[in-house]
Amino acid sequence: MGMGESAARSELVEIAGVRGRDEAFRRLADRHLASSYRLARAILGDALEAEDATHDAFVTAWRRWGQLRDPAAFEHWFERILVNTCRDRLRRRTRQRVREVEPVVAVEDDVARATQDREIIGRALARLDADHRVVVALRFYRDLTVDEIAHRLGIRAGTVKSRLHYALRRLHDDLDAADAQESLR
Amino acid sequence: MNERQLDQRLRAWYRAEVSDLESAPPSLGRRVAAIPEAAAPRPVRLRWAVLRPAAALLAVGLVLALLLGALAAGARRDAPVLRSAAWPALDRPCERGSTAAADLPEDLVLRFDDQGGFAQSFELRADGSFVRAGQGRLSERGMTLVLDAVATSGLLAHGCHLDLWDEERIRGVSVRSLDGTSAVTHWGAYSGFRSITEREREAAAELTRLLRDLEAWLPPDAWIERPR
Repeated sequence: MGMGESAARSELVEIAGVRGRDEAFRRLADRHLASSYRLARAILGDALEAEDATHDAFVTAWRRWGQLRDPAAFEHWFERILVNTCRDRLRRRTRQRVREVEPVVAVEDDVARATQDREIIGRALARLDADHRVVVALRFYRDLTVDEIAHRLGIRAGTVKSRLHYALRRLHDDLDAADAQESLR
Repeated sequence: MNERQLDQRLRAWYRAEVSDLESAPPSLGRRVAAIPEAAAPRPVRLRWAVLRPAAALLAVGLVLALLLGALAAGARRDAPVLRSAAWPALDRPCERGSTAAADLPEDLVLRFDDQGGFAQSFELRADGSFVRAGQGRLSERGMTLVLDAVATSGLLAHGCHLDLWDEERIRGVSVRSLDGTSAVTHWGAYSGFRSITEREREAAAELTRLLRDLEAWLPPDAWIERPR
């Protein structure tokens, strides 16, 4: 879902013509607000928290505005700030709360079953730690490659691979266990 | 369930949870648009509507700080007490721009997380003050001793950001060097870069013990103010 090179160039031209950093910031923020909010939603799984995280990330971006030398690089630059903000929020959550959720109950119809499946996956994702949850969201929501994720996060591709491998193995185990439990009902 | 099915279920979950058509709440747009004004020369007046809760917390914090300051014997320095040259834990190349770089707030020198949360955490600020169950303040020697304890644990010697798989509950240490770069190590059941070695397990247990009980091993000249 990344911005194309030509679009980035035209954005550079446009923003370079904007006088004053306030207005440049507002334009870039407005342009990337919705996609940033959605990414935060995908990572955090909570609308209110995503709103706060997105706001906090933009505050950080504004404070570090002087570090952004090339407006065309805003998307990647800001996304890294946003992802780090979300990751820090995930780390602050108590893991106990996730573990103590009640098991899902048996359901009859297809709609309820689909809803239940969403809940099962949501819980399995919530059990992942922050770093793993971030790479899963970037891979399966943002549809980024391993190299792109590594570039966004500023870590090695090998680290991304190992985190993805671990996260998927854990998700696989959790979902298999939930599916097996469901089939016994 | 095979890998492909897991892939499909995850993508379907994200599509269902976060629609591509979903827009940001209007209130968020307004808050973000107000950010440049909040940084204007009169930030308090302009920020008030947006940051009212934070301002209230700040006011309470300032009052508490004034009260504590009045109670404390002797004058307190607010400037950083750690003035010596770079200490050994980070005296090596660090991956700039890594995720670890944003791990610590700017005023922190060290953070010790226990169970991934902050109930049992320990944070050391640049002015020597630290936050724990009780509060106190370390001298430059005290800060150096704490940072050296982290350095000599060897847990940060393998890279700037290291996750170690272990059966224990998750813990982490983040430290900041004088040039602003950070190094982070986590160990616990939710980390997964590689398995923790026996030597690292012992080092992690020892570091946990040291950071949780500073009074037991720091000498008298390590303290500006002991925890109450």
